Amino acid sequence: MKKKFDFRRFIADNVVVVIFLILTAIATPISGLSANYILQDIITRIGRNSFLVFSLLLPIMAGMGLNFGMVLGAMAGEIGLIFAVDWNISGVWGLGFSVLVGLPIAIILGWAAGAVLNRAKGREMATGYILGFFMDGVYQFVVLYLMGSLIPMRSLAITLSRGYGIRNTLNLDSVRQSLDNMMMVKLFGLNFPVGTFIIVGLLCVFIVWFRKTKLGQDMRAIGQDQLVSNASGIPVETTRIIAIVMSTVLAMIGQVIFLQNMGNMATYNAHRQTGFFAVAAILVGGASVTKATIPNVFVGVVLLHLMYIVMPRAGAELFGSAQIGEYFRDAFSYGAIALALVLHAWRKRRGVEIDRAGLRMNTVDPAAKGGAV
Amino acid sequence: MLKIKEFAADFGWPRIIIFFFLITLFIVAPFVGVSISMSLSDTLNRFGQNAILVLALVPMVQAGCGLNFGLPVGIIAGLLGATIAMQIGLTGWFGFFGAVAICLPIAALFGWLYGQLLNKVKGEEMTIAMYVGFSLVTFFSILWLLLPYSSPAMVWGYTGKGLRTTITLDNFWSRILNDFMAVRIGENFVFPTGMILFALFCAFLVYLFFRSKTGTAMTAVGSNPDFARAGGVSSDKMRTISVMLSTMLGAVGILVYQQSFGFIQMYQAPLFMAFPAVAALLIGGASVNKASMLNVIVGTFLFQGILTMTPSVINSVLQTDMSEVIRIVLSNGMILYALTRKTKVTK
Amino acid sequence: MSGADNSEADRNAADRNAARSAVRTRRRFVKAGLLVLYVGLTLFVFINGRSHTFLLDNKSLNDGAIPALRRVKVFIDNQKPIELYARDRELLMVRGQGHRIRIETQDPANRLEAKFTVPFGNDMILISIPKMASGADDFWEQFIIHYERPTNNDAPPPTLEEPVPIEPTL
Repeated sequence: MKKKFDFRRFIADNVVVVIFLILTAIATPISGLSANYILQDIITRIGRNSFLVFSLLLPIMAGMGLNFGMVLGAMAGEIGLIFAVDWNISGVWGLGFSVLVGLPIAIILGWAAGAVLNRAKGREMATGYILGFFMDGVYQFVVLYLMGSLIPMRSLAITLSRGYGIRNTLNLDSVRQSLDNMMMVKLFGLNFPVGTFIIVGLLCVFIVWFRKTKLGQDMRAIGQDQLVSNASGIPVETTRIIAIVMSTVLAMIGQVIFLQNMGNMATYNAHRQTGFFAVAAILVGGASVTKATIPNVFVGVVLLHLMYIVMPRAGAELFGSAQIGEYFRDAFSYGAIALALVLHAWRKRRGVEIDRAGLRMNTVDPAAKGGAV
Repeated sequence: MLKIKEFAADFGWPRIIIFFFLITLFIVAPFVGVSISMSLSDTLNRFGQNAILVLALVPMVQAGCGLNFGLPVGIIAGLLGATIAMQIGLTGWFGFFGAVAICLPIAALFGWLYGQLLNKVKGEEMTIAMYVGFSLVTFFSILWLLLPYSSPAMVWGYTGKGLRTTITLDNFWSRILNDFMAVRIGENFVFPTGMILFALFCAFLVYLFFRSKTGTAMTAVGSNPDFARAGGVSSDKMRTISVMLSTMLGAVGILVYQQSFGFIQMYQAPLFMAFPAVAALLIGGASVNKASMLNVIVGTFLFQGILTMTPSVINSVLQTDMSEVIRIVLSNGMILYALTRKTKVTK
Repeated sequence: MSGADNSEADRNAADRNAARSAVRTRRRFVKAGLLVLYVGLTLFVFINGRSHTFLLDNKSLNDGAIPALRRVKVFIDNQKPIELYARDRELLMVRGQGHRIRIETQDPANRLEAKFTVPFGNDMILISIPKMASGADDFWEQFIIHYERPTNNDAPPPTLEEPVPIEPTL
């Protein structure tokens, strides 16, 4: 059976991507930014953000929706970085140390998060979101009250003057862009952080490989149908927890990569927006709540960040206020998430209804299956 | 004994712990030099301030739409009502009730649209509601800058356009409900009669509504959709009404909140306002699909009591400001508990 | 007949149990191995990743008994050489515990190369180049700064009472 390319269907399936393409296509010339500037910024941001976005892939595969709980991993990475700075471990070594310190924390947090989400089947996303808020409080407790009092800190430069607690901003000078600069390649007048790209590339290879393993297959099966998987002997609960643990660990590494590029860290705020940006990116890239691919990640990071680069300037040029541009892009990012979620829920329902109708009439047109991706 | 255990399991241990925590705070307070009468006064004040926002969640919970994280939709309507009333120069009682009158139709319209959307996404309401709220708040942030407001009380002084981030209600209707028939007992204790009465009145109206035919049908839709359909009740219609009601209550709620607070907070301020309200309702004993007036009143009182008491008491005991952490962990922990609880009434 | 069956089943079960316990032991070994690997790796990174500040000093010591070098080029590990004139002091960051130092100078010197290990847990080392050139082994010493706590009051931590602004930090 040859499949005809249906233009309208294609648009309907990728409406979020299309909207963002149109938006950025309009805003980019208005902003008046040079192509070189935009390209350089995009390259930097791909290196900086894509690892974080990748951490969302596995839970989507396992049918757990968008893992808003990934901020737990981000917090683990931040704790690792605090220790690396505290002990003055510099360069790539410092990043490695952060990851090593963050690893057990991320695993424990991920395990806990997975267990919590298992108790909230069907509303994983809202639960994960609140879980992020909840752990933010715990994180604040640990970093603001325990560090320096119960957990020994040696550097006075990073603790608050009252003797315990970490300062609001952490200077990451000792590890700043150490991964990016490890193999910086200059090409066509642009700087490519090849070191970071290699790490992201390795992650892609890992994900492609992982999909083919037994565990990866199990996750996909669970994503398709939990009951059937359970009946066929897949340990559903455990596999779901493992998906979240892996996602949390990846988010932890992603946050370390992100922060080494930024060069400093807002100790109590750095992770608050992480989930939002990662989720917005993957959805803008055309992923849905149930299906996400590696290209989705890259398309999403490029499109979302293109908009983040050009919108304030476009707003300034159009309305005389960069603020409007900023609100505009925030509104569209939130809107994109809402739209993607709505489309998904709507398609799922349409799929169910068509199934039901099909059962009744016993004639199902397979092509009419609600465009369920 | 068994009965107590059953009651505890049903009511939920977290709530009992929170309840005793609050009582402990009140007992400890005088010993660390915190005035009880002042704390109680603050608590009552904050209770009245937030009660209607919490109440706004009830209709949607009852109709099976889950916790309304999209409360900012109603709040935006309330902000529109308040700013329009100020723009046309209404003050005092006219101002407050003018704002209510203006915001209600707007909220009804918003609620209707929002309800239509939620009807299309049954089963995924909560996350979507959250993001619908977020995007509406940010979208309206643009409008606050662009809409042709001109009242000097509201716009930025130096450009003459665009609303300020906080607008004072001082010459309009600041604390108008609070001070209505307010009773002062002793030095520190003021009972904000007007506001409490208004909140209770709203709660009573909602209570009456749920006694009416429409209200009963709505509860039926929430607790057993199939049964309701068999009984000839349109579930979509009931859900839409619940969302409209919730949005309208949210709009009135924010107006009450503002008049007590004395300021209107614009732009990004409404973004996260739904979360404390949700936490309060859940602390009061509501679940994701069942809530009553008692839950609202008890929950708001407990939650606001803890918010008032922890900073003063904990700070005097520990000499540090731990209240933030306690607030975050407590409120989100409560929401988390409710979301992960295996409810008897399945969706 | 049935007894034979039973013993067969028993043996199977026993085999399975043995196999299972073997798997369990193997898993335990793998887990222990991973744990050891993790701890080892963390310690390795921790020790080798520590960075220190070297203060290079080219000053006369002991009332001129060890005179400063008029001009000297200092090579530390594989870093770019540092040129010092008399009475100069330079600062540089190095990573790891063991270090190699080499100097090039026209002035008379007894020793041009040295190796030394920084004691663990130290942040700053003061190296006297003339002393090293003279051949003394104690040419470096720990340099400990007695910090005064910064007196300026730090801004209070962010409160969540105010909603978190959406910062365009990305």
